[in-house]
Amino acid sequence: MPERSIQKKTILVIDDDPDIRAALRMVLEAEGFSVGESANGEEGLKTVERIQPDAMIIDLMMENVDSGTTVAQQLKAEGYPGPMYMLSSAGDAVRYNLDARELGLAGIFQKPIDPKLLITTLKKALKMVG
Amino acid sequence: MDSTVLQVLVVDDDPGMRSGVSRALAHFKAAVPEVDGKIRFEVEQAASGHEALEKFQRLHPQLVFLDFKLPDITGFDVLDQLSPQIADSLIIMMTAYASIETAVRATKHGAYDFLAKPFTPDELRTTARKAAEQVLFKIKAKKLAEEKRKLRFEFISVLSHELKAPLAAIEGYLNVAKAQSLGASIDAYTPVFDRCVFRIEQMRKLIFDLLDLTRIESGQKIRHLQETDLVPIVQRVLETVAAEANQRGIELRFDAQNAVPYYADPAEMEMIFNNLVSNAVKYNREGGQVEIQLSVTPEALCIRVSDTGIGLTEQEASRLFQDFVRIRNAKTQDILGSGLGLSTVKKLVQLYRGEIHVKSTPDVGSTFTISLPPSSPPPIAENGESERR
Repeated sequence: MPERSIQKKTILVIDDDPDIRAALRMVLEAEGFSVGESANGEEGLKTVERIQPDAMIIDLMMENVDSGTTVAQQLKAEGYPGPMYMLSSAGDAVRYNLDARELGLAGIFQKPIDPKLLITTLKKALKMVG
Repeated sequence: MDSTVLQVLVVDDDPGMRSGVSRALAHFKAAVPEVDGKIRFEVEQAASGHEALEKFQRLHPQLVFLDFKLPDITGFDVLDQLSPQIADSLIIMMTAYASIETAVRATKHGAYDFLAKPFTPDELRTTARKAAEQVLFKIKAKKLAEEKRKLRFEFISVLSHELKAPLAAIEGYLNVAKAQSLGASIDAYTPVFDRCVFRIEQMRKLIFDLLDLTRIESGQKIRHLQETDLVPIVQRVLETVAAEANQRGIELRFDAQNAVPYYADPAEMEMIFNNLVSNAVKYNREGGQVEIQLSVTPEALCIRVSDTGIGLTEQEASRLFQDFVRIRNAKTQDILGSGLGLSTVKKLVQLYRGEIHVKSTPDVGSTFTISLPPSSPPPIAENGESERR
């Protein structure tokens, strides 16, 4: 059950695949989140300023290889306060030596995302339960 | 110009022979076709078989002049120990007991050449130059093979990404349906299923295009080059896109003229037209036009396919013929494509020694122009060999 007493939490999804963004939006909106979308890192950084999301989900492999890490690094440098999650195809996180701590990530999700895991992780991180 | 330096190891128990070889090569500069500048030689010496093995490990010389008769182990022993590790090196045997048998035996043991004692400094230099040429050729071939491997790896990395992407999207949507994120009514999921079907179709197209492309690149495809009239090919391609064009009110224009004969493989020509014409329809606007023109001059056969579609920016156009390049934006996200169609067209055009260019203006349209050299002499295959029939 979504918490009604608190304001809707906003999640920004940065992924170059429109269908991945759409599917995440459906899952997140069904759980009472508000969702923002960006198709690339550059657009994503601008959207962060505009909508000030409570959490971020960033695809690792966009147009440029590992451009997701660049976005995370920049957000970390700018002092983005919320939890950031990286989205990665199976094996890519290892292949590209993803260092979650160094990038300031709260976690890495492997595609395909398990919606239940995504929701519980986000709610916990945003202190929406317990 | 810089000279290329080759390391030489001369192995002989006779100090006179060692210093003779060193002297003969010290100031020798050889010109070989494989390098721009000249090559020169730096000579190290070894007086025994064991010293030779030790110095070979340490110095990795490209050329070894090796005597048969050594005080400790024989030249053959040295050859046997070196031959598994002489990737970029050549060994030249030197002996006073020259015979066909020893020469054959030495070659079997991995020697590249044979120098009979006594030899003049000029004979030594001639042998050294010939061997140097071979070494440099080997290095160049190895480099090319490495580049090819790297390109192939990159291609496969991108390919696997392109194959995983639709799977991830479809799985994502199935999870949405499973979690009933859009409610209990199945009607709510129609757009979700539509997108799943679309991504599957796209994946299938990718697999088919990939097969076409690899068949062309491998050179395994048997080409049926013959006098081919392009007009009926264009007409057949137009028939295949007619239904979609009709539905979207797109006018197809082709001035069916007299026969346009060209010495070509009809299936390859059909692939070229099919890619260009179906793109011209796919990326067109409702009520737009597609025009196909064929013109023949003594210098070239010119194929032109223009559309009134979404067009491209200059930056997008510059990448268009590369493998897996799909221009991704809101305008193209519902259009089926694999990112391999135009790179396939380009590769086909190159098989005929032709050129392809695109001129485009965003939201106005694109014109693809292919110019092919005149029919005769017959086109040659990519590897420069004469045509397989």
